[in-house]
Amino acid sequence: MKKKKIDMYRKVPEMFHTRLCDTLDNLEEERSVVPFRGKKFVAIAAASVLACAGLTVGAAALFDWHPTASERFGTERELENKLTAQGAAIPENSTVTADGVTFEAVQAIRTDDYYYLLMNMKLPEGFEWNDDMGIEETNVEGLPKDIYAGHVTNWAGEPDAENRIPVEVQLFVDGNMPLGDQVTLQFSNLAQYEKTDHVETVLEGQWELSFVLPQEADTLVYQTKSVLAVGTHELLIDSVEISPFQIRLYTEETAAMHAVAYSPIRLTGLEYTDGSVIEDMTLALGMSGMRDGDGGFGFRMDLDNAVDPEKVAALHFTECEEEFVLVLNGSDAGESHAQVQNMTKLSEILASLGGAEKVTDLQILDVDSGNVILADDDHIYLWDAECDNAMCLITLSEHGYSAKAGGEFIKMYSGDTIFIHPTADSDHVVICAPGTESETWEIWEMPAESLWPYQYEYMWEDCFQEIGKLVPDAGKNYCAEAFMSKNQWYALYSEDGTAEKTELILMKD
Amino acid sequence: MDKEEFTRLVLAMESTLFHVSYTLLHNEQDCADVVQEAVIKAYASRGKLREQGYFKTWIVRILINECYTFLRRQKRYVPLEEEAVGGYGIVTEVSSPIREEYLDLYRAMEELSEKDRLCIQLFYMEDYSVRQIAQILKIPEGTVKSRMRRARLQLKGLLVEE
Repeated sequence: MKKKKIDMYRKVPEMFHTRLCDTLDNLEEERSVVPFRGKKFVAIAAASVLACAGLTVGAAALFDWHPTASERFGTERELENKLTAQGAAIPENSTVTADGVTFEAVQAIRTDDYYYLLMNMKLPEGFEWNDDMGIEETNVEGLPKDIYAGHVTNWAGEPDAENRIPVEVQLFVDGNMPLGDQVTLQFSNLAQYEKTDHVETVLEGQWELSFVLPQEADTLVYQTKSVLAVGTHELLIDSVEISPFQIRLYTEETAAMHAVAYSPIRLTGLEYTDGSVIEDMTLALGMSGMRDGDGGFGFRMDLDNAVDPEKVAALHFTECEEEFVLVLNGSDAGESHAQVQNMTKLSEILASLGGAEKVTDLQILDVDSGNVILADDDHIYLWDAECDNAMCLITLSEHGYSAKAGGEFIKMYSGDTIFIHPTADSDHVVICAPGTESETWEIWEMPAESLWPYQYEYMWEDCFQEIGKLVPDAGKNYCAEAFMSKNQWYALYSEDGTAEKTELILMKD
Repeated sequence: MDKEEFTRLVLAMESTLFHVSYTLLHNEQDCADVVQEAVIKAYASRGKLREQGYFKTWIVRILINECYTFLRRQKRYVPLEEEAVGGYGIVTEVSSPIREEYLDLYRAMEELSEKDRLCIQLFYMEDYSVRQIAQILKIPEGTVKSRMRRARLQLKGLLVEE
């Protein structure tokens, strides 16, 4: 069966096409990499470990998990028995037959975010099932009708010799709609999708199937107060929670938001107490931000395969060639790791590079969540003003830049790329931008044609303001121009006028 | 991969790059900016692409990352709880890139969560397979199927209502 492609769009806009062609025409080879001050990093967690359990059931009867459930959660017998003993996995025994179809509840599992309900659907003899069929309508008794967006149904295989097929339903946990101790699923009709342009009922029927709902599994909570390096930032982790299905890091929201502005948190491995490391985690876009019901903020990651929290010894965060390890229990640390390295302060970089000596010689190029891109006569810096961690992105003179010769630079309005036109006569532009892998910035050259002058410079017009219009007697204590970000004015301020004492301040109304 | 080959491959994917970025950004100018950044970065990193056969999934993955970086900086973060009941997307006004006969479908897709919408876009509009989508988003194939099934049913409900 050929998939029908939907051609929803008109042709690509001319502006887009032109920009793309210009960009491609001017691609060049040369580039160099400005490595981040990479570091190996170890945070030794606090020794105390709190078992923060759901209600633990003492002696729940063990049972053999259905192979579909084992495969779904990547579990083996030992962990399955543990989850069963905790009441997070329970066997089911309800069944319903109507209109030639039998639904048989098999088992239920509770994860952090949803109830996993597994059942067998036995089809009438001779009924030919295909993967593009499904239950036409699924409702949950007691909940608003057709509230399907929160529910997922998956057909977990092909019909067996008895024309029976496993069916998985995920009911997402929502504090506003508690389900109680039991839930009844209401199914209506079987339908054909995909092969037709519309949903076609292939078997009419109504079924109701009840499940007893399991409890939460035990979650281990580590009160840690550890520091995790994310990009140029040091992120203070207050606590780590590990359930069999999810890992959560709790931190302070503002700091976390600007820490991940350039570099998402990427958890890439779990280290077990036996020293083995599970890698190749599903990360896509890094850990997801979250807020829990108690107002806590942090990041979470759902695990593809369930784990035994008691066997997790460390979390590995890996980016590029650097690895950062968060050890959860110092007493079980095993081999020693590298030491924490201090980040570089802005004042130290300025001093080491011979940068600006006065705050009036510094200019802001961008402010975002406390991250500042700023420049002096010969350098462009990335500075986490909140943590005072800084790095030099580029030394301009090393790339032929001369302000006297008409050199200019500008940051792309809607992106992180910085364009540098070394002199008025240069036929090329130097580009400085974050690399495809985070924590590095790269530098390379491209022909100036189509890139310079930067055609969107007008977008910055309202973002800069002479400091004298905001602070009449600014004098030598401020940079020359304030910068507006997200409708707020920022400026660089120094109590004694030196660049060493530079602070990022928010201008009051 | 030389510049000529890279250019040929990118131009062959021009519509996909626009469509995917538009699904997330909903603004032609932003799409042009973000795609430009993605192409520049992809070109700089082309040596890391082990097999040219993976180019389609590789460059779309870079583009999606750039789109999310852009959205984070615009304070329009990836939904913190995209699996919440009801789902949600960004409802925008009608835009010229959409064919008139598909406006209802476009509006309905805007009601989906971003991750569900992205799966639908990649599968039905850009003709990626479930396996390729799983590679792009780095999620299991079963999760791709589940998201699409959920999205289809939600779309069905929305379009039937209209």
